[in-house]
Amino acid sequence: MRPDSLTGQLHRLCKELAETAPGELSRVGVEAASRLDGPLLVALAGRTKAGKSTLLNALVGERVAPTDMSECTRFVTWYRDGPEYNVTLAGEDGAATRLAFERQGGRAQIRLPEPPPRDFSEITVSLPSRRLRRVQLADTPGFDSTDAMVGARTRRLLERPEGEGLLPRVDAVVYLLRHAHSADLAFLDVFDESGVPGSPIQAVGVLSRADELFDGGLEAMDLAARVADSLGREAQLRPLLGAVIPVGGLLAETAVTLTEQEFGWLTAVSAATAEEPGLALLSVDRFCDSAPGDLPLAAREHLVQRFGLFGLRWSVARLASGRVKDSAGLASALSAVSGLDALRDVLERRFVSRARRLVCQSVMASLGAAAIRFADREPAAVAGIRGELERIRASAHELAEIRLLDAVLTGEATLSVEEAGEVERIVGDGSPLQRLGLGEGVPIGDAQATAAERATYWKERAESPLLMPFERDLLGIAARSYEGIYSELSQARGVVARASPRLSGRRTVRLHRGPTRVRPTRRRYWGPPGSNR
Amino acid sequence: MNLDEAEGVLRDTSDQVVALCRELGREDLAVRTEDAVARIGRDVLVVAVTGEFKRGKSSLVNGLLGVWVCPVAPDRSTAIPTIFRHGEANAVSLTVAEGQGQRVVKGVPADLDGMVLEGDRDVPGLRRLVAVAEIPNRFLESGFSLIDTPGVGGLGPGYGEAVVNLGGVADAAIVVADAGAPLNLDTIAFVEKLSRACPALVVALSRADLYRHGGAAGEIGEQLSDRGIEADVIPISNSLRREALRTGDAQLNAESGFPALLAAIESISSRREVTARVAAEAKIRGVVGALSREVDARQTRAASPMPDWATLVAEARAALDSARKDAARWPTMLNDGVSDAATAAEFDLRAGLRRALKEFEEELELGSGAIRVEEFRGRVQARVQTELAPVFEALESRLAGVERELHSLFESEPADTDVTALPPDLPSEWGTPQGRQNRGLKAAAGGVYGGLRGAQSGIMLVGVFAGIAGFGLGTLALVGIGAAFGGKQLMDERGKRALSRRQQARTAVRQFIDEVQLQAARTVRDVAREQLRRQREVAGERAAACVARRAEALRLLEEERERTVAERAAQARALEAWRSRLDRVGARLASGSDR
Repeated sequence: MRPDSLTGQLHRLCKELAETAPGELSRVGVEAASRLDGPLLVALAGRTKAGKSTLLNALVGERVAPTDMSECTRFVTWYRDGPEYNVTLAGEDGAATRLAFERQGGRAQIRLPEPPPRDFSEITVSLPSRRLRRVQLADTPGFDSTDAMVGARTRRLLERPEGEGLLPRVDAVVYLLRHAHSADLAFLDVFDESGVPGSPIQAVGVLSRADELFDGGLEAMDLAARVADSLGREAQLRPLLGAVIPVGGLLAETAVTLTEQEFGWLTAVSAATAEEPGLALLSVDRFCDSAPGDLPLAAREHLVQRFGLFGLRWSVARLASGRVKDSAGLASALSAVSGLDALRDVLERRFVSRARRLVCQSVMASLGAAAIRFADREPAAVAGIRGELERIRASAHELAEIRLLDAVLTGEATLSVEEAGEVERIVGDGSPLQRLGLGEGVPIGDAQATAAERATYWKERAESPLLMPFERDLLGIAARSYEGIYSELSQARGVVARASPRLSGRRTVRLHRGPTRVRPTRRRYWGPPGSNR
Repeated sequence: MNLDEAEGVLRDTSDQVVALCRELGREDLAVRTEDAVARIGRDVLVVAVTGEFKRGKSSLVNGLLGVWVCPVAPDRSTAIPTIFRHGEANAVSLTVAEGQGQRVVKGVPADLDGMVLEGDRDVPGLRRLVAVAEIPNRFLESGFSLIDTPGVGGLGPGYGEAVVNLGGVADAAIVVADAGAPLNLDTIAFVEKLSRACPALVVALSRADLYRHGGAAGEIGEQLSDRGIEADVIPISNSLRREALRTGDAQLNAESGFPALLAAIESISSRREVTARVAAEAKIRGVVGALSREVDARQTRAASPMPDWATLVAEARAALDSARKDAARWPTMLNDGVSDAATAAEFDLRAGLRRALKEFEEELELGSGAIRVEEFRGRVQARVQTELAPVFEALESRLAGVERELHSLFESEPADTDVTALPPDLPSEWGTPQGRQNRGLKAAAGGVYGGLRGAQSGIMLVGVFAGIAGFGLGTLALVGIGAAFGGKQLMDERGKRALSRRQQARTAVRQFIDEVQLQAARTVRDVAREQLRRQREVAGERAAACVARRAEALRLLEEERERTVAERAAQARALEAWRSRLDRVGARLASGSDR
């Protein structure tokens, strides 16, 4: 970590607070410091029955979240990486109670204390999971739940007044829509005003249960992609979400948890319905009431629960065509068709690759709020915090870059597709080479030449007389980013730069000799539609 | 008394009431009565298909029709109400608003897609109102008219308007919901309101083929019965229906749920007469009440001793003169009233926004430390909203005051107050051939679906029908305006010092408030203009009616003066005869409604 980076500066501030500030304020410093090094906190939000828990399971790769209408889906539940399975209930006051946790038929079951608390308590589930190491996920109750308290929990999580209580606020949100609805808009809007996400930088839209949208026909996911695309262009949604990705949550969950037995059953169905594939799969009831492949009813009902009608039709068609031969092949095909791959890709680019900046923003907000809270009690310390935050805000180029990206994603600044892709790339936590979009093993000298060339390009671009003043400023930011990359490269002159295998968010350049693992450069642009002019 | 007898009584009494109306010179009440009775005999049940976006409403219409005429597209929704009715013409027409008037575009069924689906580029200034498809179809011929409606609760107008709109037009409504999940809060509230506004209701759960045993049908049935809503809940599948129609597979057709749905509609259709009769009876009672009051008044006059004619005639003449004067005066009164209200609202608006601006400027001037852009912006918006709310509320009540004043000026008809509880008469315009049909459509487009206009008019919902309180206040409005303000770069850390940021913030607030003022002032003017236009139409008629009534009174008075005592006696007898006829009809109605 470079001492002059945003994270570095904030670390210094937190350390100072922790060591010198009196009493409670020092604890704020300790907590903020641990947040700076911790994972990105992402919440899945949406209306009831939008498929949040199912999608969470798909993202974690395990059926950990209860997906029924049980009590647990009525609390905000955090899923995080830990050495062993462990469930705790954290009260508003920070007191934690351990809860019983068991698995039944591949599904997690959590026992809540009787009677369940009626406050803003949150559940935390720890489990060993590689996928949760960099990102911690929150499953939230539907904000339009019939029980007002339940909906309030979600609102409270997302709108959490900074620094209030001991529970951390979220850094980013995955928002599930079943179709653009005025309730969604009102929710996202509140969200926007509360200062947390409300920008495509920190929020991504998901058109959920996309496989059910078009009567589960084989072309359902293609049609859903069209709908998602036009939703992403919606004038009212674009500034809030930037892009909407169609995802069939159930299918995605099944893709990552597919068993050999299920594959065997599907193969039997496929063989039995080879003559007339459409007939048995006309409806769920037909499928269950007929007996394709002599499967027992329980097996057929199980398949329906796991795949849905679209999933069944699609998988059977795949198997029949011989394009899929084994369960691994089916799993990866399902993962692609369900939209899970695309979503992961977007989350990676939007959130994970900028995790440090997003966390820094949250920490700065928390510190700012703490300053307000302690203004009367500790005026001297607070003045110090304010001054330092002010200085950081004014000087950190990372924050300027966020502003640039926000303008690009919301369509406020009009750039060509290539330019927008370039901005998305340079505003990341990755290594200089990654940010330049160069493969590994490129000599530093060449990389520097590229950086210099791009800096010149953006400078000239910024000088165009046709631009509005604010656009000129924004484009200048891109030029300065390239200058920054150039100087970082200078510090590592003479060696080959390699991306750290984990995107730790530190912009260090590691020394590396030996075989390189090339991370493919992504040229595909997933940004907000409409900029594809 | 069985149904036929009840029907007989009603027709009998209505004939008498119509005759009495004519004899008493109340042609308007006669027409009203005839309309209500005609509605009983109407051989078409108007069924509206409604529900949230993308639930398969248009597909369901196709399923009912058995042919694919209603446009369906995966990524575009139905934008305007579309009416399907039986006719040999096999033609479609689209009504568009053009300036102040309306224009009808004719076409063939293939044109329907372009007419009713959301367009990528709607021509600005050309607002589509309603489409009508007249096609030869067995289902429609058997006595139905279908209305496919735009989804409710999307990014456009809300549930409330849809309820009002449908309640006035349809005899029955099919609410289409998703079989996959229980109803959400909004939908439940929508169904609840609709069940009060619309005589009969069916809830169709689409995509039932995707779920086992009708999906959430059981839960949804409980949700409805918990709230005391009487409605059949029928799981259906549009894709199975399509397949069944293609292959002629009866079993599949049964599985699609459409036979059950059709049966439910048929049963509503068979009950329809009862519903319509109850409505007609209530209306006739209202008319009888109005006539009784009229006869009472005349009897009182006739029974009085020989009056002081000179005074009476002078009084009546004075009343007529004043009515004439008022008739000349009302446009000025209306204009003044409305423009006063608008001016006052604009003044309030300016004052309120100036107050808010001053506060924020002071805060920026005096404060120190960082401005948190998002928080600050939220605060500005909230503050502006609190200033806007009372302005629009006051405007609404002022405009209502103007309307009341006009009413009292022209002594509006008491008969109206007796029948307002009933749905409007529009449905009687349906299903009848040309001529009246146009009137019905115009009313349907202008009044009943008037609320929909808000959808196209940009930032603020404009339209008195939507309720003035509905716009200017919603977050929706401020999102639109907020864009002018919300560019984060405006207040972020471009400059290195807090001072310059504060200056930028000040500029931004000023810009924002300017913009809000501009928009809100425009809305105020739009509302005022709309109100003016609406009032002008009714006030003109009312004024003319009032003058005519008083002239008639004067004429009668003068006639009476000429009359001999004998004539007066004869007239008293006639009045007595009317009186007893009215009483008989009233009693007959009362006995009929006891069952």
